[in-house]
Amino acid sequence: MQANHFYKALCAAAIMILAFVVFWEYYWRNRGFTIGYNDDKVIWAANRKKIYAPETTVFIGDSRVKFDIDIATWKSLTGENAVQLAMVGTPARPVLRDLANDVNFRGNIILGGAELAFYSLDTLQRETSARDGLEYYYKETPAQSLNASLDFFLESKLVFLEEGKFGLNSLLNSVPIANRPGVFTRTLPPRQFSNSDFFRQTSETPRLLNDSSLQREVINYWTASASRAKIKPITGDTLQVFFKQYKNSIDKIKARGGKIAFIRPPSTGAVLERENRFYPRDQYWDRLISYTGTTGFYYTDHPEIAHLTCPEQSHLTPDDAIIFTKALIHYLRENGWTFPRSNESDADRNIKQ
Amino acid sequence: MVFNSYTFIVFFAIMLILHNLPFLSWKTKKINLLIASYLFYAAWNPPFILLLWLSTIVDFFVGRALYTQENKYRKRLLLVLSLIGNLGMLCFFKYGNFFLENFVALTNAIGLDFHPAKPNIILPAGISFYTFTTLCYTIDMYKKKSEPVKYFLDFALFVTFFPHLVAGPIVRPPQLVPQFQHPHRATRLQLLQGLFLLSLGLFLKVVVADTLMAGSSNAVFASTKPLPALDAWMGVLAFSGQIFSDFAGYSTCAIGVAMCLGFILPENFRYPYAAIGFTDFWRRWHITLSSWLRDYLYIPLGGNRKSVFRTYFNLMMTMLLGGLWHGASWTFVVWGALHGIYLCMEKWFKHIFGQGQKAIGKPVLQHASLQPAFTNSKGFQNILLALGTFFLINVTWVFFRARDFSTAWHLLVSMFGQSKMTTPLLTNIDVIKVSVVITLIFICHWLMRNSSVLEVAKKVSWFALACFWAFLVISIIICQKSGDSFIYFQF
Repeated sequence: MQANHFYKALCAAAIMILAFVVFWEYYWRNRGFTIGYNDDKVIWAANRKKIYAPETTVFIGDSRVKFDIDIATWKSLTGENAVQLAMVGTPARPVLRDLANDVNFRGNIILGGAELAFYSLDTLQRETSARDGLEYYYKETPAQSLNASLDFFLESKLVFLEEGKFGLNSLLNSVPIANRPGVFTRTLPPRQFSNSDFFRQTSETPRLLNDSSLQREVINYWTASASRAKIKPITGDTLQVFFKQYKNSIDKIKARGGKIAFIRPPSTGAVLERENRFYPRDQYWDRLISYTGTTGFYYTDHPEIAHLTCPEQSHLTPDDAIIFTKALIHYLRENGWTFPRSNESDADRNIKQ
Repeated sequence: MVFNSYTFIVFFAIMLILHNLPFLSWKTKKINLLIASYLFYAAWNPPFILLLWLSTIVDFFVGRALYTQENKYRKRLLLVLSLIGNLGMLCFFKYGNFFLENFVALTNAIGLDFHPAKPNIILPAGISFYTFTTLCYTIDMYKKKSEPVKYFLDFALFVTFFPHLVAGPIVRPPQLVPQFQHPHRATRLQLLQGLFLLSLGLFLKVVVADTLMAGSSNAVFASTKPLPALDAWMGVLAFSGQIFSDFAGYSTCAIGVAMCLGFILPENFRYPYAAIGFTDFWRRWHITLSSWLRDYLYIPLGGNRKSVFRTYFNLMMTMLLGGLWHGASWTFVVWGALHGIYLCMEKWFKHIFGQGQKAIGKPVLQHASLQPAFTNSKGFQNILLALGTFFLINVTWVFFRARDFSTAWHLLVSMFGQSKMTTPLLTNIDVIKVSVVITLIFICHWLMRNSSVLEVAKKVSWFALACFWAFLVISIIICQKSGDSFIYFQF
């Protein structure tokens, strides 16, 4: 009798749950969302494991590196293994330090990003993601590793499993409720902004490319974020210590035969104006490249990409990311970088293809 | 492995199938359970399984020898051996750093320049739980309280049975060993009720603790700036909801998982935030630990059988050590001390007002209770008393959660509105989440305080139960958080 009571309840609950899952998946797909992976420490750690393959280049830095370097293009033109370890809003330094101290890592590194994140100090919360990712990577248990594999499988099938966009907290936090004055809110950009795949290649969505109001929404988000951050560029001795820390890590990697290149991808509009105002090239970029003795790839130095624009002022479109990546590879070849695929075809050279 | 993971779902499904195969013998099924339990533990940190093996082997043979040994001195020696083995392991892994830090602080305070290298000791998951499980067995054998376990397989399974292994409930041999002696398979009702409890436990952990409460709690306890009273209280209340949902969630999952396999584990939580007084609280919170402390610490210390002063002393010692059991830090000791003081004050009030009753045969912490005066009457007064108890319990959580005394003090000052130049921290949506969830938890605990979830599930209509069950699972699916470990694993 009691068993029947529970059995009927279980069957009815199962039907309701199944109906909900179908509805929930249909609802998000119908609103234009496609399969994407939650870009968290778990998937970062899964990619961190891949850096030991021979002929590997690792990309580190912030979201500009994630959007603007096209991994498929890199792999196809260089024949190399490419690993994306950049993290949104995070400076390259902690991950660079980790790679420098990992004697088993023998690959090359491309690093860069937006100045606001790039020139930030350890004490800022900007390095939290990097610290969390590294801690998880080094402490990941066999159970967590297996769980991650199952999680990735399910995320590859169901759109709503991308927690950062569709998780309960994300949904609740998007409810427009005004906060008390003085509360620091860590908001997220609109969930239609971008998508990330298993290799952590992040791309602007077709919706963003075709919707100027959404682009404006993202631009407003950058403006609000910069305003909250109260930009105070590091200068003087602090900046010198900062350069020194980079150089220490770079020297370790070079000593093992690795190559390093800094990149400065494009930005436009108010974002570019803000970056140029607070971080003049001659006082930051030029000094960094000169002090560390490293290859530097600054987009305005290359006419073939200097004209590229960012729809939301900070990141390239997927098509332009291919152009940017081709130009970068071309430049690196010219500067003595060699790749397993040594020949550069006409198509490769034809950057605007 | 944690219950709130996809890995566990696969693991559990395999276990259910294996355990219900009709052609496997009972012994084979027990071996399957044992291997699965080791896998469950090893999936966390494989080398630490050696400690589990060591503890199991030593205590099985020492326990048997303790029971059969007639020579008083040899018997004591064997008990000391077992205590050194179990507590030594616990002290090294859990309290090694703590003892060293305090020793260094002491030597430096008397002017000695002693700065040893900091040892890098990793705490094996659940060591406090399985140490207490094995310890009670050897003590019972010493006192001949129960029969020694006949077969090593049964004993190993008793220690290692995966539902209770890493975070309890802390089981006693008579509660579990007899269930291994004869073939056990869940009835249809047990299987369904077990699945329902597993859903409820996962809801508490994934939805309430990790999704709705953890963010506010972590933000407030990590803050170094003076906070307005609202933010401070919200942070502490959030932790209050988080720790309950996390730990009760684990226990509910454990009981549900065991029930699906046909085994009954003891109840560990009974709506503690509806407690009227602290004795009542300890009858409802982590019941298997409080009864363990009663039977193996408070009563051996003399309980309330000696002088009044000695009773207070025993109560304080029990709670101080209970606090230290939770973590190697003085903040946990203060947490235990506060509970000890609350209990002593209750006992003192009871003594003053002469409303006590003999508490022989009742749980340890019931001895110092105001409860009898109020539990028989219902209504507004009792709710006020429950709210007062909840208020004071929240004050103790500050020490439990704070990483150091400075953080705890800073938060207490903020909670009582004494901070100057405060900056609000939590968003309004966080404040709403905490307020709603804590209110619902309190109401739910109050309404259910004399009942159990399965009793209620039996009484409501099957459709209402289905809707609630679907709500639990759908909420878990929407939250999506999987794999976050349970707070009590660190204990």
